[in-house]
Amino acid sequence: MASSAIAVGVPVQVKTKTPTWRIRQSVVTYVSLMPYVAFALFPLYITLVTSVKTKQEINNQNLSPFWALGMTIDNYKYLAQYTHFFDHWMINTLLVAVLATGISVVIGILAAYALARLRFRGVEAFGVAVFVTYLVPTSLLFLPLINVINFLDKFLHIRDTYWSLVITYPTFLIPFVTWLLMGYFRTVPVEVEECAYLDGCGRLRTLLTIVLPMALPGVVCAILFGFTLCWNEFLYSLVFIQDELHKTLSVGVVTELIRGDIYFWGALMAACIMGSLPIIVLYAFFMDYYVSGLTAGAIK
Amino acid sequence: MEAPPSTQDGLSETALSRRTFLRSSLTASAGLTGILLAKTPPAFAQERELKLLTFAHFVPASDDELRRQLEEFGKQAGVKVRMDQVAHLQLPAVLASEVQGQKGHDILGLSRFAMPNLYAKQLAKLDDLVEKIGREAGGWVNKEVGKGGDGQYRGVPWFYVSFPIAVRTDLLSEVGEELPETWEDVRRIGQKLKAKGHPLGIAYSHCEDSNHTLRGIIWSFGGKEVEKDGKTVAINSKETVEAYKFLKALYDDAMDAEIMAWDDRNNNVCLNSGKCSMIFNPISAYISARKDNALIPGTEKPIHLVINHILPPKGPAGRYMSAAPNYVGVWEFSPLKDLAKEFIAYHFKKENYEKHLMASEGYNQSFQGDFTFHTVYASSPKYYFHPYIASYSHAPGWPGSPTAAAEVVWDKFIIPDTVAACATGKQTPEQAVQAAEQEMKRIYQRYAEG
Amino acid sequence: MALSEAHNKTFIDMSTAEPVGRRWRRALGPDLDGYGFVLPAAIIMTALVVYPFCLALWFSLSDGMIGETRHWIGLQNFVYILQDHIFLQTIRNTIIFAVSSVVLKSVFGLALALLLQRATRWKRFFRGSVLIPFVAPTALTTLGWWLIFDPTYSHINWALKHIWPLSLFGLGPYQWLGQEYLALAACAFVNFWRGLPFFAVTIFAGLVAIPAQIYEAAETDGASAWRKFWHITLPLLRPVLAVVTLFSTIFTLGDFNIVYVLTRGGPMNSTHLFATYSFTEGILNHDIGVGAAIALFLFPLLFVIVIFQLRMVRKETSYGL
Repeated sequence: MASSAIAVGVPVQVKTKTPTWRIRQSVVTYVSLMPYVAFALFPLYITLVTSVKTKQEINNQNLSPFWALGMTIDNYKYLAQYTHFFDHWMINTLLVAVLATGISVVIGILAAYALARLRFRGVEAFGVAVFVTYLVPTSLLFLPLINVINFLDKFLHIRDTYWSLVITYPTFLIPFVTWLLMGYFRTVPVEVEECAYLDGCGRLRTLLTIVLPMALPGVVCAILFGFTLCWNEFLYSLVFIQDELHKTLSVGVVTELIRGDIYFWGALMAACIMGSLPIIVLYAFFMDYYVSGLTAGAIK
Repeated sequence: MEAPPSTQDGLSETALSRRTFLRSSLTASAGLTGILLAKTPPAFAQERELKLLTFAHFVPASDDELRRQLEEFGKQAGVKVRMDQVAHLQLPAVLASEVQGQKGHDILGLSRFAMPNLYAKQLAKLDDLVEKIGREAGGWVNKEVGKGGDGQYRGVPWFYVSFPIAVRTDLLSEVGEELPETWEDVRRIGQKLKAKGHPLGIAYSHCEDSNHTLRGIIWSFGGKEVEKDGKTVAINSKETVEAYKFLKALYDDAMDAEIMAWDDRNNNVCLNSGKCSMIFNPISAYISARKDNALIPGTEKPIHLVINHILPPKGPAGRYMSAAPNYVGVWEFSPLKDLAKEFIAYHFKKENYEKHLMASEGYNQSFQGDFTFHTVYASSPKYYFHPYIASYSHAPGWPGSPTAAAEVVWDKFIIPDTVAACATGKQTPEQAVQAAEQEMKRIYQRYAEG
Repeated sequence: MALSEAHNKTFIDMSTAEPVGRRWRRALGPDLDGYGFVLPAAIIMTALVVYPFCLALWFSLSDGMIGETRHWIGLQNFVYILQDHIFLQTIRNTIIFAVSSVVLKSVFGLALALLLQRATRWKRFFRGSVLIPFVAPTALTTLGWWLIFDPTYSHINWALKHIWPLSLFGLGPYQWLGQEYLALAACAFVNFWRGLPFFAVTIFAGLVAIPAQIYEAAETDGASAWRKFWHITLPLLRPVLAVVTLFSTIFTLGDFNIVYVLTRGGPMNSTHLFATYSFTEGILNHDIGVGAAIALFLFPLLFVIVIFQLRMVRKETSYGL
């Protein structure tokens, strides 16, 4: 009984576990969750409905904005035919997100382990420094960053390619990943690591084979959040890349579908849906792993 | 306790696994690198590439024409060319980063009225080019725009976009009114139509349309931001206060509260959805109404058939309206400056410029004398106003020339904010004008040194 | 070893394991390979954050437009912006925006995390759908919200007018983005919508990590649900809550996209935040000294808060009972 309680993570009341009480608790829980779900999905529902509407329907003030009378996939076709949404921007964004997140997580794991476990002079200062870098908004930081990118561009052609993003995105990913993982590493019991050292494992090996598997939910969490931050980023991508074929999703969409004072709402909303799909798929795919990892990690 | 095998011990097992790990990861990353490098051009094999950066034009066809001309020029000159586009509201960010890094594109489409002045130190001097083009195309309609602070040209005046009134002629005839000639007409007609659910639409908010239209109204009442020298703040005058009073009356009588939240697209939307009776806008609203086949609500009739454009109305001091100039410039730090200038000369050759003008379907208006009465404006009765509005249109900053300080006043939305404060009753007209004067003086002082 | 003792230790004592070394090695601490571990992060952060940050700091303390040579002028830029009434309003806007949004996110994030923990069925649906606001591309979802708040087409106004029973009240139409306080509330609301999943999921992970034995022990002592929450859950969640709130506050204070898309700082500057006003002054107006001063204005205060928070979090052990 105790182990099942741990696996589910729900506090179990030993005293009054009558069936009616149980049903009542469930109903209350699920009913209370519905507003949150509606709240979260409502704007996306609007986006979806608008993306299948015809232009006339969108312009018509008298028709309901909550439902599409004449559904059409013209907006999606427009995206595919008249913009580089699928053939270039999507691929660029995917590449940037995968590479930047990968680099950041690897570096972050190393740094987080050091900050969580190891003692050496400057560890506290480094921890603070890592965090302090977040205090400068990117809407200002991008300008001095240009100097650095141009400097690197002398040796490697990174300007106007997604490599400039792969290099700069870790700047806002690493602090976050480091801090997230520090917390998770601390929850790994120390004796397990000490056992490993007794058995003759090196530091790196201990990290990779013992600590990391136990902190895996945290790592998955870091990867998912990191991927999301990369996917959503706009300003660096705008400023470092102007080449049509190398743009990322958010910049490309805004450039192509907003012209002067005309907004192609149908296509914009279709772009929002298609642009969210890969990442939603990713989360859905990892959600099971994430959840089972969490519950497995709870068994101590 | 045993020492951890960090240095000498355990080389056998851990080192072996380390080696295999390294080897496999190296091969994997080598393969991946190969794939990725295929998408990246090699750094060393770079020939000359002429790069043009411009804002995404409202009419995509004109951008296509520009690209075609660039490619043709590239073939003739034997260089690679590339044209990149950015949304016009994001252009300043990209230009700022290019200036910061002293590296970027070569030719630029400049979309904001004082960019040649603001970036004067970073743009190449184009006096000879401007003089040559003007000579060959019937002179320049406006000799003030495009200059830097020192009076020398930093941007070739490319085209401008004017602000007529787009009216719903059917609604006007419903209330038995003729097309408005004066601003008082506009207010009266707007009042009648607001009662029928079709208010006037002028934005008092943080958008370009608001800045343009309100300046036009202030000028029409005799007010002005600065004196002709472009340096002395002159907004606090009896005439400006009269203009503010009128703007408040216009809001109360003829407009809906929604204009306080408007963006540049909202007045188009208001007109095309059938709600607004009159708006101040370039012909973009009409063109999109036609393209989307927007219908008059409750009927099957296309709304663009009853939209017409007329000259902006007269105020007590005359007929004035603002217009949005655009320029072509060249970065001073560009390695291909001369080639860039050659392309500009090529683009402004009469036959090429004409193609670009026609591709914009009447949206663009030329600064060159020979193109003022171009046939494209006669192609539709809705466009007939174009040649005539030229004499009443002025660049922001008028009666001074477009300066950096004027652009700062623009970007901070000083006029829309003070007009909105006055219209909503937060401040009296006198207070609002005084507040505007205070802000402007601060800005002009700061940018006077620069 | 008892659970509590084990988790009290936050680092491995290796000093007795090391062979006796030279004094300088000892002075740097026993775990020298720690330097190797943090080196990659240190390189990237120094090159790509510390250097640009110092440059930005230099911008704020010097004069000149973008691309010009700069001269030291000390704190004059800061004096200049403090005399700007738009900037003073920006300070007020940002504080209201950040405080209201973070408070909402913490309260509802905690509630949502508790609910998610209790929901044993359809887990994937609930957890997935709740995550979507955080996951979908920001630049595009903000456009969706713009439609919902649109001055002409607002879905909310339409619903208030047409959907029964709301239409009975005769409410609206409201200018969600046109009235000063409504506009700031709308922006804060969108920020809340977007950030709630972040809170919920992180707190949820913290909740799940609390061992059930603690709750069982409390139950055998006769604790009610509320007492369990107040005396067990909340204290044990404190480190997680502290870190999440800190991160969220930092992100929220630097928010740019929402205001930029929805209101561009209007109406009448009632929604300008530090990031948007700094962008207007620094990038549009080319006055990068003033822009940097605005962006860095909060930096000293935030720095102090961060240090303070970090000390607090480091002192807390996860299960100090």
